[in-house]
Amino acid sequence: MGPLRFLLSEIDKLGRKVIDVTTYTLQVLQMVYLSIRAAIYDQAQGLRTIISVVSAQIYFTGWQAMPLTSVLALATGGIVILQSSAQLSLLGSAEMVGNLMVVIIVRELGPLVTALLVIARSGTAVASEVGNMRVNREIEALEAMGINPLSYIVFPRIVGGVISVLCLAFYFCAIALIGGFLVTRFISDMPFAFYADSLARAFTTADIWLFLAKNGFSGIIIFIIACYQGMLVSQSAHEVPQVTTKAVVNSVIYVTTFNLGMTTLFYLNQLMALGIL
Amino acid sequence: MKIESLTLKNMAFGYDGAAPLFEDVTFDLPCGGNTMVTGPSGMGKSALLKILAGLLSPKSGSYFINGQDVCQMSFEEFLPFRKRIGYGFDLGGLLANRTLWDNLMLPLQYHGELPLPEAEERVAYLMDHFQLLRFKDRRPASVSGASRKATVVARTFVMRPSMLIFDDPFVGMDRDTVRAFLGLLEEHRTKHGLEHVFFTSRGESASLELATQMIRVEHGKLTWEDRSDDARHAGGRKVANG
Repeated sequence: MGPLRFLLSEIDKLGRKVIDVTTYTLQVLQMVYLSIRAAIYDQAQGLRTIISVVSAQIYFTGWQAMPLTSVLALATGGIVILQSSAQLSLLGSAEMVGNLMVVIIVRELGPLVTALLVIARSGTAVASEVGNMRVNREIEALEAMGINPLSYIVFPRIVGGVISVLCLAFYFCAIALIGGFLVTRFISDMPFAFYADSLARAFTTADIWLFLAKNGFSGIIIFIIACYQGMLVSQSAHEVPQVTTKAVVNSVIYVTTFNLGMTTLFYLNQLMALGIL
Repeated sequence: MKIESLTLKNMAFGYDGAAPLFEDVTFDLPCGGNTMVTGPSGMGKSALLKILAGLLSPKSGSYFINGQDVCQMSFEEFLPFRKRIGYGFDLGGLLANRTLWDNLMLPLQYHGELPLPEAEERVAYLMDHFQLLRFKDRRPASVSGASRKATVVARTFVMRPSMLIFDDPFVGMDRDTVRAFLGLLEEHRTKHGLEHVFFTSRGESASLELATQMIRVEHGKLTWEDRSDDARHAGGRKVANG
């Protein structure tokens, strides 16, 4: 009976975990729906109000993150170019460097590194900001004034977050692809024309869709989880760091899982297009 | 929109993880006049006021305004009522990243109730009334607690509501602010359509002076007592239970 009981208790634990994750995901998705609904139904909230919050979010999340993004992108681009060009030269396929860069930087590392950077910088900031607003009863005050916090606080942050993540990811890829090449000019003799031609041949329309989907949804995931966690603060200030940590952990899990899922779907689609599946 | 009646029907409420504060309460709230909500700490005075303001929903039962069940309304459906209700917090409630001026301007600007010059004029009047104009460009964290309290109270008046709800309005108020507050209540009652005032109290003299009727909250029961001059002169108390 011992091993059987152990097995059943493990299945119980797994079942509870699955239910918890599913419930959490549904609640977060519900918040996305409710915030969009609130923004549509809120007749009082003019475009001006939304734009002012969205632009502030873009400034903090996008503009202020550019220096750090530059450093990460230069380092990532340089490392990938150095490693791949050396290995490809050994294999006699140096012209494939563009394909490798598109696959690694544009499809995978760009969206993932940008998302992690935004989680670390802005996800934490938004979760703690909203959490503190709960503690200071600012959210209740907004409701008391007839201002829906979902349309006034959550919706503009999601919109600003999505725009910021898309722009930052584009910036990351551009710096990694071009700046990374320039960094390696000192130790590599690959001509720029050769590199640029290889890159141009590697890009496809599917890459653009994958880029937009990955970064757009990552932006939604990061900011809705940050707002959701912040809103969970009930009364006490000691809950704020707890929800902030939880926002980071959950955002990382959901973003990486989403990226993995998108990549899997992308390659399954390619295999189907090639007639392999 | 005029608020004419407030009714709780089979209302139950309790904070998550805590013992219920109210179970199966049915009560017609007294309208008109200044209603002091009193009772021992932790019995649900603030919760009752938040339910009246639509900031908390009963766990079960209903809350009717003018015969309409608020618990069944969406945020948008309740908005016309909410704009007629002013709510003053005991602590906090000011937006930390906005100046005192912007805190008062926000509801007027957001709902587009007034053209900008008129909105500014109204806010300036209220700030001047509470002697807050010199702090108007400061954020809540950089003014005294008394000024923050005065700002919260002043903000409840900006939409010229017909019902005002205050959680411990006199706590943290200096004598001048109390005087300004009482004067403003009277002014809004006579000139701007203020009809119902509900406030919690810890037995301060100003609140006893202000109250024309009283709701006592104790052990999940609501008891109403008439404190109007007529009732006092009659030497008795009219009492109703809910």
